[in-house]
Amino acid sequence: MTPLTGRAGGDFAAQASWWLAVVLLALLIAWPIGWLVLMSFEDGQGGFTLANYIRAASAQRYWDAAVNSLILSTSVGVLSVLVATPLAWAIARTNMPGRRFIQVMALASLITPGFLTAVAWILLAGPNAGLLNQLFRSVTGLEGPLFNILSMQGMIFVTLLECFPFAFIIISSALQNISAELEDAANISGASTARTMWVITLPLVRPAILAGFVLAFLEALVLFSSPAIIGVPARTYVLTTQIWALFQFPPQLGVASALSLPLLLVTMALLFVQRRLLGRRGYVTVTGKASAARVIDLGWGRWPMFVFCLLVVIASAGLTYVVLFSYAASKVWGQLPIGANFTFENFRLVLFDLDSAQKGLKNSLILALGAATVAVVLGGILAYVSERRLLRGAWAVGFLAMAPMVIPGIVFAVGLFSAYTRPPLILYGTLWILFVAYLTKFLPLAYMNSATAIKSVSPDLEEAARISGAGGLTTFGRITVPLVKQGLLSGWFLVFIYSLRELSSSILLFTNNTVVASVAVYDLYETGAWPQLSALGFILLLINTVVVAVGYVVLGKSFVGERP
Amino acid sequence: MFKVKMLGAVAATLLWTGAAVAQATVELEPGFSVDKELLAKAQKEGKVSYWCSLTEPECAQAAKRFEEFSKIKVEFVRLSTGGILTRITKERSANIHSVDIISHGDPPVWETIYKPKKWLVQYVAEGVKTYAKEYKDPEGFYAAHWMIANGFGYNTSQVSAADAPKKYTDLLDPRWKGKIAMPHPKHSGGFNEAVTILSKMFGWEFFQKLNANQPLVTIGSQFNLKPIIVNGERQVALHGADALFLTEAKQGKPVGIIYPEEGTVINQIFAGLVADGPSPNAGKVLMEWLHSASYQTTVAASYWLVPHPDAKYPADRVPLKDLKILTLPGTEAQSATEAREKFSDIFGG
Repeated sequence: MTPLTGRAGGDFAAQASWWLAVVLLALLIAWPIGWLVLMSFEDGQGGFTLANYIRAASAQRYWDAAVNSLILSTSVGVLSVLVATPLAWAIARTNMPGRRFIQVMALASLITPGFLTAVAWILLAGPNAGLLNQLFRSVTGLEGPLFNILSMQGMIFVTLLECFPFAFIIISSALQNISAELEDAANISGASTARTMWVITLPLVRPAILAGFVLAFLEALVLFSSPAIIGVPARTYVLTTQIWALFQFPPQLGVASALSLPLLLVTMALLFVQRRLLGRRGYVTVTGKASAARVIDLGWGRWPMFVFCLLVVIASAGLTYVVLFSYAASKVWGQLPIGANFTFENFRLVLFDLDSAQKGLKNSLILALGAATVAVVLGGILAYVSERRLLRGAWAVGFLAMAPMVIPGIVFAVGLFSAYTRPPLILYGTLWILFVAYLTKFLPLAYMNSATAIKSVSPDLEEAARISGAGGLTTFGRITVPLVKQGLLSGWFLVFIYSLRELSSSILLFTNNTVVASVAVYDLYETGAWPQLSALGFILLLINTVVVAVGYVVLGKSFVGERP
Repeated sequence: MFKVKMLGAVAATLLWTGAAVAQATVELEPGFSVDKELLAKAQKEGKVSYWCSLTEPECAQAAKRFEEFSKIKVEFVRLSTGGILTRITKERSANIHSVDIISHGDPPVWETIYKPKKWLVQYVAEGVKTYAKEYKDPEGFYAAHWMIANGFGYNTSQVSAADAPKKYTDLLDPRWKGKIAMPHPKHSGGFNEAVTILSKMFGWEFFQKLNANQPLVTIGSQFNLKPIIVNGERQVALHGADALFLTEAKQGKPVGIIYPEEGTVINQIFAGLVADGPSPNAGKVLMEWLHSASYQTTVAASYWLVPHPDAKYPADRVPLKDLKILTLPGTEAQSATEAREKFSDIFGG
């Protein structure tokens, strides 16, 4: 059934807008990725070769790394959904205490740059000096560590802390959009709360759960931070750490791109499976007659639920920041940062002596605001075009929009570099190249959030508008956008946060005047300055908290994951 | 009488040349002078772009000082070897020339990439002429301007100075099982030099036996070993940058450094003037300063080693001349590459 082709999308202005968005998408994505493909077939002298692929495929260590990558991302994908779904459900639909607190903390863990979390967990659960292990030894008198973070399990754990918020945000925003009628009907027919949730609510948000899995899976696949900081010491190498090594001497950029491009096939396969599993019509849950969702009374069960949520956010955000603050503020690590052991020196250093921190912060904020806003507009239109099949070949839009998600950041940066340092677009040395990089890299987040939201809105409302004489653009702007506002806002917020912490592309594209905050943070990590790193990380968190607070005030109850 | 006249003429000639020299150079800070004409051209360019390899506060401080006395703006970017390599490769392929001076370690990169690709110009600063031959390219394309001496950084609250390892082979003793940390040569060019040197010295059995002691392999440069040792996650760093440990010790942290009996591996950090940079003259002025005794005395104050024989070290630091040093020449690129692969075969990665 193609209800809207030639009707909602029919008038000229609308058609032109849809085409414009698609062309923009094609340029934005295909241009840098095209350069990557080219590079993977280049022999270094400008000639054609398959040697890069042969080298990539013939080394056993890359196959081992690919297997480890799959184990890591599958585990993280599954666990993310298992953690995020109850969390999102409890916040959006129940009377669990401390919902707002849990939500803020979950968002805080999203804000935290991955290598800060990884560093914090080494300080907490390093096999010898980790605080938790020291505590365990002194209490039990046993020799061995309680938990060795420097292991495959440790890497999965820390990566999970980094990735589950993806699933959380997308599932939260889907839960907002479910109308209560079906749940009411189930309740009236005598189903218990638990059964209603199991039989009605969960299946209704299945598209979002699947999308959450896909996002967390893909993010874990291309993540560098915890695989580097925890995986390498654990001697568990994954594709991203192997690709990173190819950028050292002797540099093998061709092999690096040859190793990255197969990941695109994985994405294509995943998105295809997702589409097949979901079908199209069955999940429309927002209709013209939606009533507000009810609060579900969990009874005594709200306390265990609260404890579960609390543990999750303490592990992912709370502990990280307590550890970072203590580490930055202590003269001797391991003792409380009070009295003679307290020092403000590290904070002073990064606040006043580190030029790149101040400059970087300003640039990061400008970039994050710009990238988030443009990504949501573009991603929203593209999701609409794709979900409503407004153009011929609209299916390709989804794949194209998701592609940047799976190319490891550093490799993608090389593609971006090649794309925007030669005519027609020479952006190198300006903030624009970083803006385009962030927009391209995080468009998938805006797209996926919008698409999930639009999927759950019935086209009936749009058709009604069309029949009443509204143009395609008017229908989109007056009917669709207000209905999927939640998804768009989530997308905006995600792109904003991810732009603030983007590192791998920035590090190749920044110049003296366009340094960004994440580069300043990473630089401290790289020079072994962990106390200053912790101080700057903590300051960044404070700033981000202000941004989140402003978001609450400005957006009110329609803020991410909040029950409207 | 004739003699006196002769002397007078000689004196006059000397005075005249002396005056000419005095006219041709200008002292920018005590002990550092540059050619006046060069400075004028450099000031006309007004700025210099420099990819700096020290820590950011050190780079910023140096830039500020240079700007003050030279009136030439320094635009610096702090990057590690991998970053510089990728960036300049991409810049050159896109025909972009944004940088005047690059600096980083990894001798093979300079010898086997920059030199054959003609990305550098020959320029021998005054200070470089005073360096021992190990620290400069005989053809004059690059020279070290600071250096990292690497020893056994250790945690003094866990290991006494008497018990600490004294030579590399001590690390093979089972008592160090689970207590050693080291970088990975795929991520640290500096450590790759050490692996190449040590594998030649002891053969690969050394690393095979070392593996039995389950050393912790970290990502990034050897700088990242410092927090691991300071926090006590491991007790001894193989290839610990001594300057970092000396700085921590001075601040009261429980760490010390031991220079292995077999010799101390030195990572040279080179600087080179880039061909077709945007400000070639300002680049030369900055290069003169980077190779001056006055600049290197500042670098040495943070305990780094420097090649200039006139630079002053802090009293609590072993000077370069008293160390038994081991360096890897840039021409050893092939064996360095093989060493990375062999190491990965043993330790993974």
